[in-house]
Amino acid sequence: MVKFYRSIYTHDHDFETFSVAYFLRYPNPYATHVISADTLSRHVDDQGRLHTHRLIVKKGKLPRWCKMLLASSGINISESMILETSIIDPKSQEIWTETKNIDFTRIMRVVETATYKGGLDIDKNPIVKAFTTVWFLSSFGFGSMKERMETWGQRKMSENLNRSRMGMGFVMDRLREQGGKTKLFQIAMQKALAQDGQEF
Amino acid sequence: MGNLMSASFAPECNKAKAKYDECFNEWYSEKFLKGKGVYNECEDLWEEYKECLGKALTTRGIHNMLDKSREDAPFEVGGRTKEELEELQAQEVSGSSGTVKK
Repeated sequence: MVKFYRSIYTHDHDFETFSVAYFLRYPNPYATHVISADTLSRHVDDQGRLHTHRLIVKKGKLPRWCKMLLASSGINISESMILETSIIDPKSQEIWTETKNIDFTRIMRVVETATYKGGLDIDKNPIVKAFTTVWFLSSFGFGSMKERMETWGQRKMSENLNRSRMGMGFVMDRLREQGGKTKLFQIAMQKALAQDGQEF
Repeated sequence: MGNLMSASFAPECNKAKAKYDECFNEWYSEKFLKGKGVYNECEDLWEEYKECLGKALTTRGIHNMLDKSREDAPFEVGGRTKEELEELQAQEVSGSSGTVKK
């Protein structure tokens, strides 16, 4: 059985700001569990689209009962590795992304695919529409345990999606304040993290 | 939070990563997104960072995991997500969830 969660969300920012924020979104105060983000490969294709693979390492966020169960099987998940694939098309103002865990896949798989489309709302304000699907598959345990794990996963999906939206919003607001200048933005982000980091 | 940007998973690559990221962000926001240049100008810095990263990935045994995981990347085999977008637009849902039998 596979659980999934789908959502459509509208960001009140222009496509360019959104695209810059996409690669700059870590660290932010809503993603303090993200340890690192490395670019593995990157190229521009013949249609002018930027392809990127990134490796993102996050601290594990499993429920306690699950951690205890895994520990009893000799498995200790303290952090997880995510492969993030993205294609950015500045001409059509579209971004396609896929993120999935690459370790512990025998225990569970979480795959998130998203399409972002830049455009204008009815009042001609720039927006970015986000279409997201998260798939959650647990291979750990059987019967009610598997069901419990998947139900937990499904509940977490909307929660996590909400946090990542807030993170993107936070990063985009800082970018807008700094007029899109990435250097000024970085300084502002560092200040924000030093001030607020502990509160989130 | 010593770094302005996100850190590398391998601390020994942080320096090379910071240099590359700075170059990339500049090129990406000032040129690529504005349609002024499709050629990534940060190739030299990228080489240095990539070399460091390559070593770290091999030493830590992450290379194999990545190769396995990349094999089923959906984009390279026909853009599944685009179809998904159309499907979603057709449905006009604001949030839904469910279970699929596998």
